Amino acid sequence: MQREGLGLVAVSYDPVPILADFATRRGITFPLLSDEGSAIIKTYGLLNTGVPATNPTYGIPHPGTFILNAKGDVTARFFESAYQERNTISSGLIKLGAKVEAAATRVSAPHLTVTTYLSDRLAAPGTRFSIVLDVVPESRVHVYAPGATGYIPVGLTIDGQPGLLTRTAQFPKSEEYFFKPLNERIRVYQRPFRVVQDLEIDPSPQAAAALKDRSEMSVKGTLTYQACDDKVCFTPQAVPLTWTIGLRPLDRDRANPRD
Amino acid sequence: MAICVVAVARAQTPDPQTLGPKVGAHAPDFTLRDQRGVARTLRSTFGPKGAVLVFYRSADW
Repeated sequence: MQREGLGLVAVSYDPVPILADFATRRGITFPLLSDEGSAIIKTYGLLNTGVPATNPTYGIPHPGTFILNAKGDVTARFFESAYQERNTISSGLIKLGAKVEAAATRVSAPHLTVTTYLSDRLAAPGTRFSIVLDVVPESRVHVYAPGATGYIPVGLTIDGQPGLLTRTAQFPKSEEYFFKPLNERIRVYQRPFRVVQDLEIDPSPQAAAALKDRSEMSVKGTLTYQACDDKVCFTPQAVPLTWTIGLRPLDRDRANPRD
Repeated sequence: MAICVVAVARAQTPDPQTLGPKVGAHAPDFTLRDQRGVARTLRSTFGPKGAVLVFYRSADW
């Protein structure tokens, strides 16, 4: 994040001693700000009004993340509906086109190269993380974008398994390609492009039971595509891919009890 | 009757996507104490290109 030139700051309604304890336990050095009384949470319009004022958790926000530019204007925001579901910060940055340091696997397939990695090494129940595929077509080759008809468009399927929720994959804007021999205009990618596939560790109790005592999960998927150049279309391809995400339980450690 | 109850419960839970500053809006500056007890403005946490501002429930539970 510092490489991207962005500071990182987190706000909660916890008193300073709770934050101090949390920061020490987790080795956190970025600012954890104490909005005790939730004045800023209210100013931002984020107070969770579903919590009764008599409840000890009154004052919590709807959790979410804002990306601010140097002027302090919001350039992107990530909010989820259920508290356990949150985009990890690196998953959010990837969607903004940022590079994230991660162990990447490079796969050479016919007519293109795929570099793929996960946004995160570890995920807890409810963590939303991303598979990133950076695809580089060979020179003069194009692949078909989702929605293109008459050809096999580029697609990513993730094998289902207990405890894993698969979201819709995101593809970038494609470009129009004019195929002269057929007088045909079709949507393609012929420059490097990024596919982001969001996944989530299922926070349900059934999933938690299925994943009990597991320290990692192997995610399998298949990249399908058909590559063509300006004269010929090549055989459609299905490239098997595997990723491993470490699993950790929800942080149920507690700081010292509130006074 | 059951349908009415569900509808009321839904109406009381706003969609978080609609809350807080929208894309393009200015994020109000503020001053809060950090984990060391030092008063920090939001602006003081910015890098050259801005900041990632995270609101989370609690570090305590």
